[in-house]
Amino acid sequence: MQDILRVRDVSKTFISGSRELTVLSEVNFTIKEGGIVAIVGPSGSGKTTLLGLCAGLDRPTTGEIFIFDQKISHLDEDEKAAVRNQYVGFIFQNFQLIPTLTALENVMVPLELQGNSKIARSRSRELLDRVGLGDRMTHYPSQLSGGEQQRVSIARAFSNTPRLLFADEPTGNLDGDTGDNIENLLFELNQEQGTTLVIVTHDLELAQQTNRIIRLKSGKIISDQLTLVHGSSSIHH
Amino acid sequence: MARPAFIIKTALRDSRKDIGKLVMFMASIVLGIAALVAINSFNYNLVSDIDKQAATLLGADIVISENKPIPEELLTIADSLPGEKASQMQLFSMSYLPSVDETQFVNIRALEGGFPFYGILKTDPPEASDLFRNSKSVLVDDGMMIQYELGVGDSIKLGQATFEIAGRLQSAFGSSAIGGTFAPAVYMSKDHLTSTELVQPGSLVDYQYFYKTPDSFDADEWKSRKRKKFRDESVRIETIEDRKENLEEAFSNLNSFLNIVALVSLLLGCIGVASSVLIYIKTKIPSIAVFRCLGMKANQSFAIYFFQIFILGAIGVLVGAGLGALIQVYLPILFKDFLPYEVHMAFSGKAFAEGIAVGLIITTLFALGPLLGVRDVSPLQTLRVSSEGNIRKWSPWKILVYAAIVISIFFFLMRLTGSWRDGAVMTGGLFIAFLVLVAVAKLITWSIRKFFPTGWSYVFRQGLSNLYRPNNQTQTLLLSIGLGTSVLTMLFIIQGLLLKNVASMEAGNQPNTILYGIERDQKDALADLTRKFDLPIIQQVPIVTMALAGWQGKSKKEWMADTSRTASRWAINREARVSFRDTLSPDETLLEGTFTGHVKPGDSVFISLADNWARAMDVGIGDELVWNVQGAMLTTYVGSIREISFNSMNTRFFVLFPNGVLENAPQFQVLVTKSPNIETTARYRRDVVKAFPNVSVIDLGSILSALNDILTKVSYVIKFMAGFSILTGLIVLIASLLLSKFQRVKESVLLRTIGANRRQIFMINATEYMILGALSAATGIVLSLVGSYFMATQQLELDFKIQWLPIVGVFLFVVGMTVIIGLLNSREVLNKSPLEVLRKEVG
Repeated sequence: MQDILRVRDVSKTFISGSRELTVLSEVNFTIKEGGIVAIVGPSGSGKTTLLGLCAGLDRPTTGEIFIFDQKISHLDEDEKAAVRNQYVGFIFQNFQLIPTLTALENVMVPLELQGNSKIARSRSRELLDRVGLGDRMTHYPSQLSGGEQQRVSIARAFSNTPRLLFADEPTGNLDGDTGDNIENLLFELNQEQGTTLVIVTHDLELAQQTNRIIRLKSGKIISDQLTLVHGSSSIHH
Repeated sequence: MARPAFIIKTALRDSRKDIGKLVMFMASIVLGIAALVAINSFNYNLVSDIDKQAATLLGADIVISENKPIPEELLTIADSLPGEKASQMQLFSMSYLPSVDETQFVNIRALEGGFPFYGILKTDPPEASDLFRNSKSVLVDDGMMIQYELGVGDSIKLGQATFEIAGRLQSAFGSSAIGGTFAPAVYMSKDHLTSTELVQPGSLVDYQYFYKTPDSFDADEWKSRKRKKFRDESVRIETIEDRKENLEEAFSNLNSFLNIVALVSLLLGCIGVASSVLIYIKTKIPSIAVFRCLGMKANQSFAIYFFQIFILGAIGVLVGAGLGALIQVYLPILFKDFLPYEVHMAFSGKAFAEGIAVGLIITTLFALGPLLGVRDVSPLQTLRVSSEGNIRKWSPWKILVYAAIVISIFFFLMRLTGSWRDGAVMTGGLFIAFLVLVAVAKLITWSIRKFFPTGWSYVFRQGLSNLYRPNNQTQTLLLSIGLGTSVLTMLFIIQGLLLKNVASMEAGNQPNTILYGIERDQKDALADLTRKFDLPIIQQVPIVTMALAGWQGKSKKEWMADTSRTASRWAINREARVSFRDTLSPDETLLEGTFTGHVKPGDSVFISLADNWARAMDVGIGDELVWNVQGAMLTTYVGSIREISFNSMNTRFFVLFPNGVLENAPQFQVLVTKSPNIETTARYRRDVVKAFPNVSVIDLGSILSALNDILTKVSYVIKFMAGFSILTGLIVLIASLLLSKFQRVKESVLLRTIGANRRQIFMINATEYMILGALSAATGIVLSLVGSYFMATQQLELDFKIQWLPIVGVFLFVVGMTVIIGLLNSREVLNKSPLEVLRKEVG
């Protein structure tokens, strides 16, 4: 199976006043296409920073990141945007829907950005039907509950058929039952579409449902294990 | 790749819900452009009407005039002009109205010939415009007839002669309604002027000769050939082209004032545009970050918001231009009393198009500054929220936009002032004001942090610390409120100076009644009459009219031909109205030489000159001056040079003779007195005119009250126009304070959540806004004082004396409005539950 994400010797340092703060240090791992990987760790361990770097939202201080064979860590902002639009999808803890667009319009954005306006509407309708919001398409985010907003967000994440999907604490802002429903929906859609899913979470129950768990502490990988779901224990360092 | 259609579609979709946030943006543009278009339309109509009506305003192709009889030699040259000729003698005098037993100061115009050749004297009845030329009758200004309830057929006494009123003069030819307030016009035939006995040696009479030339004749070419000869004798030649230029020049002050108002409104509008777009973009940062996260390029996200702003800006510009075109219909009504002719309310396509062009350029440039920040919004914002969104303060694009703003302001100001130098100076001034405000903001944040009053109560410390903490609004608010206050205050100061300069003519304890045209044998009887009214004789002086015939050994003719001459033309040609006495008056100070009060027959005559006239003539102590005293030559020498204080209303003389020389020369007297009230003035004036019809009584009190009427009208016009700027300024203030709302609401809610009560939140916000308002207003006022000083002394040549009361008013107004609007912004926090507010603001 092809490597979809390679992280090589990645470090990230922030300057705070006169102090240097190292958030990630010499991180290495590879993710193969089709898997579901959880990145876990306590608050401040560098999970979200790592996600931001892997998705090309930020630039590492040192090291390299590859999506397929494309080195994204050295691309400029617009080139990274093109890679994200082509291969990557996002699900956020706080949903990040655009408040001025309806549910349908929010889902259409990634496809329209690709220039696929013709299929944008029909595919977005399908996806909203799939996530159970067929009757809420013209509603604005402020008119939807948290769970509904996250379902719109999932529909949007899958709309451009991404090869790699990043989810940042996708159930973090939701209650138990709603969170469970969202998790199920996410895994079902992931399976249907054959997407590689990278989930950042500190919910160990959710992490246990993935194939592989990467544990971070103080900016370093302290363990990288396959789970029982995967059925083997090979480690890709 | 996303197509332009997607950009437009997204721009439209995104603007649906948030259009309300751009109300301030639209309002700023609409008001700024409305003022510009209204004022420019009015100016263009004014100039175009001057072009159209110049011929009827002059009434002839060529007018030759002088305030003394024009030499025969020059008249012969003028009379050789082809076409028709007419003439007029114009003088001011008292009139007596027997039917109502009243007197009125009038402007007598004694006509001969068919003047006006262009335009008509509009009279009621119409035939009166011919009747008065052939009979002993007059046309009287309609306003005066209404004031005294006079009718056609009533009598009016001018000097020694009584005339019948043939008709009402309905259009005061070639002068404004305001001009007629002082001395209404009375037209009569020149044939009957002699019978009034008003024209005496030394009388102030304007002699005018009108010529109507054939169409093929080039009046301007004739003038340029003859000008020198006429100018040597101070005789003016005016053609239709000159009248156009003169009128345009006369209105240039009005133009300048209106242009300043337009500029102020436009600049405030621009600040409003920049502030509102900045607020709008701040609210859009989370959406932009999501767009970027989903793969939108920086240019695409910029294009979405640029498109929104540009379309709304263009709509605002169009609405503003339309509103301006409507308002300009009202302007001529507002100004009608100040214009010597009717200005037509035509739609000016040029002003409309210019307004749209200037509006689009300025709006786009000022919006671009904050809009460029869209390019800097990082997709990382979706994961880690920072309110500024990592927007860079400087980028090459921003520098380019700011440079374009400076250049466009320079071109706009250059066009406004008509000089690249003035344009550059004003642009530089604005730029310096901007830098000063930024520097003051930095100084304030630095010094509050450095000298923080740790002993103060918590609420004051919290309010004060808001001025320097991260995401503070000190610089933004200081810039917008400070700049807004600065331009508004400057407008007030200049308006105050303009009004004060006119009002300074007010007499106070000065003499208020001047009698002139008194003949020598009337002198004592008039003094007795004055004393009978218990009025003081403040001054009673003789006046002898003479002309300079030569000086320093050369005749005037020789001097005029001499290219090395240093004396000024005005000083040489001035008809000297000279007095004689044996002492200097209290308002005169001797600067050089010795004052001679009396001369014995046969001795050399030493005269005293006013310092400014001596300078203009380039003569000094001991120099010889030869005078033509109504035919007799008189040689004198400069004995002394005096400085005359111009603070009193007394008569002043450039040339003062000693006693013993001019006593027997043809002369008239001037008497200066002070009347305690209007009733006494009216009775005194009536008795004087009845007993001495040739004497004119100038009542400065009534002139001042007429001036006051004008001032009231002028200040009404100024206030109306300044209203534009004030309204735009308020919008800027609201827009600027909305900026700070986004920062403060969350903080206040958090404080409420952890237990702060309403009063504490109120005090924290009030402290912050009061300090911000006070500092911004104070900085703006200091800048406006500097700016208006330069404008008043360099541009408008006014005395710079400040009236502090309006400035204190502006200060209190700005501080008050800042606190009120700031607190209104945070009223939600005070009145609603914290959760409700947070949901609304975040959602």
